[in-house]
Formats: sequence, C-alpha cells, structure tokens
Amino acid sequence: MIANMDTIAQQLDAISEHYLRQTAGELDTYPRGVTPREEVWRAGNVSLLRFESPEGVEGQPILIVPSLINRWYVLDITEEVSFIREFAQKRPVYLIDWGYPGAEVGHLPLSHYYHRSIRRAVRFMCREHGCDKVDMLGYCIGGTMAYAFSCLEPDMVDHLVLLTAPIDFKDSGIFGTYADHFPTEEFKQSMDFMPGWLLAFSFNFVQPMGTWQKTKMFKDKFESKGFMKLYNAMERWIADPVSYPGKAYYHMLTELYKENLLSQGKLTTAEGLLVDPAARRSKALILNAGKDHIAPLCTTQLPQSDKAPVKQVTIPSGHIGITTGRNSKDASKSALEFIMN
Amino acid sequence: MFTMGEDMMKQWAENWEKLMGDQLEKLVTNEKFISEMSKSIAATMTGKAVYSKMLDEQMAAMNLPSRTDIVKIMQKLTDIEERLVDLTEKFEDYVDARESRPAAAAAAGAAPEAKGKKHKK
Repeated sequence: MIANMDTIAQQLDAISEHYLRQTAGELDTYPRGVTPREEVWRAGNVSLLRFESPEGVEGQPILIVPSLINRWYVLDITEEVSFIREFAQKRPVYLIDWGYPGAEVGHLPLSHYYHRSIRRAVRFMCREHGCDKVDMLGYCIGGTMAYAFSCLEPDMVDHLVLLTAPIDFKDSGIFGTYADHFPTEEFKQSMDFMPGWLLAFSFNFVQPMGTWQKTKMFKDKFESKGFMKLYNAMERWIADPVSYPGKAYYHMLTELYKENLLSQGKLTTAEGLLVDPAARRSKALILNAGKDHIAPLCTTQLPQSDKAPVKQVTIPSGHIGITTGRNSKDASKSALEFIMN
Repeated sequence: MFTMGEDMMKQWAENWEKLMGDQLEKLVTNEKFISEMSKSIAATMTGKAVYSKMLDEQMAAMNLPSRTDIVKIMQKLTDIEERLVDLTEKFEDYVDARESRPAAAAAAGAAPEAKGKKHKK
C-alpha cells in the first residue's frame, strides 16, 4: 500500500511539476544552489562538490556535511542568504552531496555514510590541498554524522561546527516520541528506503498550523521582491524531497533515537569500530537554535566523556530559520569566526 | 460599520487559528494517538511485506525476475562499486608511498606537483 501511495505521490509530484512548468514556470527556474560549483568526485549517489572561491582564497579547506533527510542547497538558497557563499569568500569549500538515494543503497548501514563516505571526501581534500586535516561543518543529522566521524578519525578534523546537530537523543522532543513508537522492525522487513514524500509529510504533520502560518505570511509580504525571491527558493527546496536509505534509517531510529548509543559512547560502525566521544580532539562549536523543534537545545549538548574544547552559540531562530532566516547571518558569522581563529 | 465587520472577521480568524492550533497541537503530541497511528503504519508495512512476498512467488513461478530480485542486483552492483572505490584508494596510497619515498630521501623541498599527494590517511 505504501509502495502504491509512493507511486501515486510520485505521479502527483510529476503532474504538479508539469503544471508549474506550464503555468507559472518561475519556480522551476530556481536553481538548486546558487554558488558556482563543480563535482570533483563521485561514488554511486554520493558526490563531492567544490565551490568557487575568489582568486587567492586558500588555507585549510572546509567540508560541509549536510543532512541526509533533505537537499543540501538550503545552505546556499539565494545569493543573499548562503552559508556556502560566505565560507567560500574565506576558504576553499567542499560539500558532500548525498544525492537521491533509492533502493540500490537500501542495504548500506548508517556508518557507511558517517564513516566511509566522509573519510573518502576528507581524503580527497587532503590530497588536493596537501593538508592532513580539514575543518568541518555538519548540519542537522549531517552534524551528528560529522561528530561521529570526528570521534572515529580524531586526526582528520581540526575545527568542527555542529549546526543544530542532535547528539544526545535522550529528550529529543516530538521526533523522539514518534521514533519511540515507530514500527522499526516492520519497516526493516518491508521497505528499502523511507520515501521522501513521507518524510516531508511527517515534518508538516508535527507542525499542523505551519502551512496556515506560511500562507498568512505570504499574504502580508508577497509584494516584497526580496521576500518572494527567498519564498520561491524555499518552496523549490521543500518540493524536492529525498528518500532515506532503508538500513541507515533503521539504524538512525534504533541506535540514535531509541537507544541513544552515540551519547553513551556505545555506538559502533558496521565494521565494529567504536564511536568514542572520549577520543575526539577537534575544537567544536555547538551552533544551536533557541526555537528548534527538530533538534531541541538539550539534544545538541555533547557527552560528558567528550573532553575536547567546546564553545556554544545559541541563535534565536528555528531549525531551518538558522540557515535561511533573518538571524542566519549571525549564525554563519559565528561559524566562520570560530573556524578562522 | 465596514471596519467593525472587518475587525470582527479578524477576531474570528484569530480565535479560529488559536483554537485549531491548540487542538491540533494536542492531537499530534498525544502519546495514545501516536501509538495508534504507529500501529496502523505497522499493519500497512506488514501488509506490504506479505504482498511483496506473494508477488515474488508469482513472478518466480513464471520464471520472471521480481522487484526484489532487481533490487538485490542493484545492491550487488553498489557493493561492487564500493569495492572498486576502496581498491582505487588503496592503489593510490600504494603509488603515493612509492613516489614519496625517494622524495623524502632527497632534499626537503619536494617537487610542488607531488606535494598535494603526499598527505593522506
């Protein structure tokens, strides 16, 4: 039934895409990310993007690890609101694009993404730049993965920025409650991936008045060109959901949300390596959002056993607002200052 | 008169929004509701697994590949690609190690084009 619903949703998506192209057309012309970039490496769905920097920009490269749940270009949404563009003015910037995973990667464990994929990207960057470590920024679950990587490979990460990254899943809010009740075993038996449309639906579902409030905001501000540019770019991003690889999703729900293994120092990779927070050495910045319902403040705290230097900056915004809202400039400035010093 | 009506509409809309917001918020955070919804999802997923198994059997009886078979092949291809990437990295490391040995033995200032490839983990 879910497969059928998935097909129907895909068909509806195609129809709406067609409708948009035929009528307004404008949304479709919005680019997926605005900073010029090139793909420098690829393995399957996963690719490494290098962003264009002004001539003369050099130094230790920055690797951005975006969330697996949505598309990366929320960090590069318009010319005016872009973490990536600001970082690229100061340092060489790379980003792991997780692509659009499907059934073909449904058997890969979560550690494939937080260890093997990130290690390959860091290895490539080190070879390119002649360095032996990189600076890293992880957003949302990408932050959780970047943190796990910095525990596994402490010599490869210098500065680590955890942008609204849940690490301690003990009180993980509304999503924690849903994860606790989610039928993980049935999911494991029946699904190769968690469909993107279902993930998008669940994010809307936990904020039932979100669409209404968005419509009200649209009514009040639609005459502003600046607002409409950001609004359309955001709608383009929202209408571009990605599926989550099945086994990795199962691991995220069980090992992180239900058992909270990362925070307890009990998480292991598929190869049996322990993700030990006590082993981490990189300087870390916790950059969290005060009104975050996806990664509440308490979930962004590091484990007691983690003795590496840590700073914290809290931005008065929500989980997405920290990257695209009016305070996003403060967030990117804090991250950049931390990395540069 | 018109302004009064407009104000009333505005007030009504605000009240409706608050009422709906509160009620829906209560509903989506209600553990019992979440639990029942999860049971329904579990039943749907179990149904999907049974349906897929039946389809697999029917396709096998007709000597035709099912979706499960195709997914298995795709996953095998992914594994092969992963293995190739690992082997390529190992080979590159081996070449780097061979190239860097004489360079290290020579003067401290290594050739600039080799510099970027010496650092790896």
